Amino acid sequence: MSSAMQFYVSTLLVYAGVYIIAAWGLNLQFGLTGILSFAYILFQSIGAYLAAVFSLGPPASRADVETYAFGANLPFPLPILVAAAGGALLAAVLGPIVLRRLRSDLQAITMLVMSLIATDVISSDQSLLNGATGLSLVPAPLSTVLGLSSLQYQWFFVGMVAVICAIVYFVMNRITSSPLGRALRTVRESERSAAAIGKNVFALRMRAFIVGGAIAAVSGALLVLFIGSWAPGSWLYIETFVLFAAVIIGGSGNNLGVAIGALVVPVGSVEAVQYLPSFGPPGMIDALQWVVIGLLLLLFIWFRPTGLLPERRRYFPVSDLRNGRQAASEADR
Amino acid sequence: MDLFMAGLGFGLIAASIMALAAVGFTLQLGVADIFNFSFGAVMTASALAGYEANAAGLNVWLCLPVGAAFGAALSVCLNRAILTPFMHRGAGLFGMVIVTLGLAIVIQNLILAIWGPVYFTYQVDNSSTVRWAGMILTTSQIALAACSAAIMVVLHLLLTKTKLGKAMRATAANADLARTSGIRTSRVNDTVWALSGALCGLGGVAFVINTVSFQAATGTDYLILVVAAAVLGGAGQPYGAMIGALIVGVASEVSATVISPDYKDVVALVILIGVLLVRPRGLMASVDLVQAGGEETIA
Amino acid sequence: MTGVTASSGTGAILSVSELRCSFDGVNAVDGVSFEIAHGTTVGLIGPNGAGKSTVCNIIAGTIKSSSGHVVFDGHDITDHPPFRVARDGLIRTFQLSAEFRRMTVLENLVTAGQNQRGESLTGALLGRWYWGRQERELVARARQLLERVGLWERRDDYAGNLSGGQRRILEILRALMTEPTMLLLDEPMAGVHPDIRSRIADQLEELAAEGLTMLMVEHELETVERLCDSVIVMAQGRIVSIGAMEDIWRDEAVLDAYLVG
Repeated sequence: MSSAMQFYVSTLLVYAGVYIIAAWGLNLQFGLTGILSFAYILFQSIGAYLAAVFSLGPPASRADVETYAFGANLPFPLPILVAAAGGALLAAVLGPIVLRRLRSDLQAITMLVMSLIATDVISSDQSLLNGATGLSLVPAPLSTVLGLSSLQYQWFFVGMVAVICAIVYFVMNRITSSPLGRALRTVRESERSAAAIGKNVFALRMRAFIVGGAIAAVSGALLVLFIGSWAPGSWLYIETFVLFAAVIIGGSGNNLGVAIGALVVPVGSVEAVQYLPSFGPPGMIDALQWVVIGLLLLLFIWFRPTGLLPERRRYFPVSDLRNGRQAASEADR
Repeated sequence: MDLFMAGLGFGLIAASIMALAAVGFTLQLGVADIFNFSFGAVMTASALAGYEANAAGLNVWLCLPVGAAFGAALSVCLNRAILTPFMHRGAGLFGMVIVTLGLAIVIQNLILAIWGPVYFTYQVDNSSTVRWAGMILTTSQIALAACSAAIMVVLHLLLTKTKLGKAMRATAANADLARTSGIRTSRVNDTVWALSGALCGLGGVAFVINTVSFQAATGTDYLILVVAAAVLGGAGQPYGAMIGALIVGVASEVSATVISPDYKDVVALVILIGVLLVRPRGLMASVDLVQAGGEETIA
Repeated sequence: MTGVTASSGTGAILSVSELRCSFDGVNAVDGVSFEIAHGTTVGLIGPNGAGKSTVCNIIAGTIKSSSGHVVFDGHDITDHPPFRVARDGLIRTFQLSAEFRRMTVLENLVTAGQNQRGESLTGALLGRWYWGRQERELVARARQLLERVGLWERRDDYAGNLSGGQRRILEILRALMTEPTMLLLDEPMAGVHPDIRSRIADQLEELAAEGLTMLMVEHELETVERLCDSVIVMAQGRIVSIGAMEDIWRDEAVLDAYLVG
């Protein structure tokens, strides 16, 4: 592979990893638990901002380039962990406001509104996170320590994203296949029935919201550490829609399906466009891309609402059933 | 004080325009039980229809009925061709939010793809400025507010004096009850989409006459404030929506002049969230927007 | 034993006193008091709009009362959230059964087991070795319940694909999985095909024989007559009469309530 090609492929792989992680977090909140998490991009964004300011160093050290309210120079894995904690914290704060009493469509609109308010506030307040310009020149993690060539570093980053992907997959898989995942699905299927068998619907929603928020924040942290900049333009509410499209098209509730959805929608549609001969006035291709994503989503909801890979039917393992018979016959005796 | 009065003046104008759209939106939410995110895109499309008519030489005030007709036709078509079929296919409250959001993105970007990322500008006649009690308004703004007020009066008569209007309010208050009382809710439905679509179109054109120019995303951006007004007033409550529009319009314009234009929308949206927290059913509730599950705590 | 009294007594598992609830100035429930003795089956009947379902919903915590008290098993549970009422052992069913459609029949039951170790976040992350044993016990219990009604063969079907009657039975089994102290059945025969009704009644009769306490709102008087030790008759938000089924129709007030509506 030529080095230009390697650059291209490795960049694509990093984006794929980041979007897959983000889609998994949304799958936990929306696919499994049924929360219409229309402020989802906020979790990714808070992760990105936190990872950025905790890599950039104290604000005074960068006063000539950009202004932000707080920051530090933390060693490598810490910015990502701080980001995850920030995402979880944001979910813990927003959750009680949104998930407690409102009907699901009002939950959605309230979160959408929160997303817009956040964009407005962050853009207008220069001192908080450098306003509409956003943060830039975020140092790449370990780049000075490792002393790799820029191409080698690209592949190092791919490896790092792959490892984090594996960790997030492990967490997602443990949750979906556990009694917790099952309880989350009861909330999605029928809130009142879940409550009627003693499930604390709000607490379960909060669990999904917080873990999903932390996962989204990790994706944001990886993204900002890779591209080095983050601004309000990177997290408009429409980005939430892209991830919803990815989850629904891929197969809401199915971790593998959702990963495929993330490859098809955000990564695939953006990259596919690059190979098209450019036509029409400037911006036309971008607009058509959105039309295609929107239509694709509507077509899927109409023809295949379960997505490319539908949620797996959960069979109980044979061992449960066999031991079940023993236990049952013992109980009879 | 001058600043406040000036803001109040703009706020009243903004509110009267917003009321058109908010009443339309709340009718859809109440009667059709659809949280229609594509409402904003239909507003943009109607404003665009008005723009084309205007560009073809039609007086800008005559663009209002053009926008209304276009909005009504498009809304009825969208409902019949897309929304109702999706509902019948079992997309719940939940699914419909995503369907209408998808629809909004398709419409908005089709406009962007066909017309390009340009600002459309209405040819509005030069109007003179009127000063009264610290408010500084143009004659066209006053005319807009008067139009809106007249439409609200007509709407009031329609809802209270005609059989159809009563059927509509009954359906909004309780669709099941209305059905069992012998109201033909499907016919009511079509009328509601036409009426709310007309209001949507009027709102879109009126908004643009006031701001003069718009682009593909204008309607969707504006929709959030419209939704805030509708939800504030209580879903399905036309009069609530008018009051909601008054609160949102005045709050955003006053804060824009008194605090900073940057926080214009933020203030209105914070009010919305505040009201939802204290009174999740909105100021004048009919549709039950509160979960049946009641309050729960983290165990 | 009639199992139900209007006044205070001992041995009551559920006691409702002076319950009131009004919507928009209309008193849907207007001073309702009764007690239900342990191990009895009581019917709550009355014409449409009598406030039966509202009483049921207030007890279960889905609707807030305006005033009054609900005491269950010695605890005041008035206006507790539904999940707490359920955890206390008072389990309700719904008029329109709400099974977990996109979950299998077996999952519908197993998830109803209480205090599952794998439902906490740490429990879930620790994995099967931590919660697997409890899972096997729950599956065994679910199996017993399903085999009793002949639904074991359909354990891996989605609950949404069952017939109306089967779903109603599934809902009752799901309630039983929680090992309840008492069942609150809101019109268990509503929307069920008449041929299936007797099967559901058989199930309920068996549970009654095992000593489970039940309060059922029901229109189907035949079912009430067959299953209930006694009945409470409501009309216009108040209790008109309480007593054994055979005595109730001699009560002038009851006839009035049904005739006037």
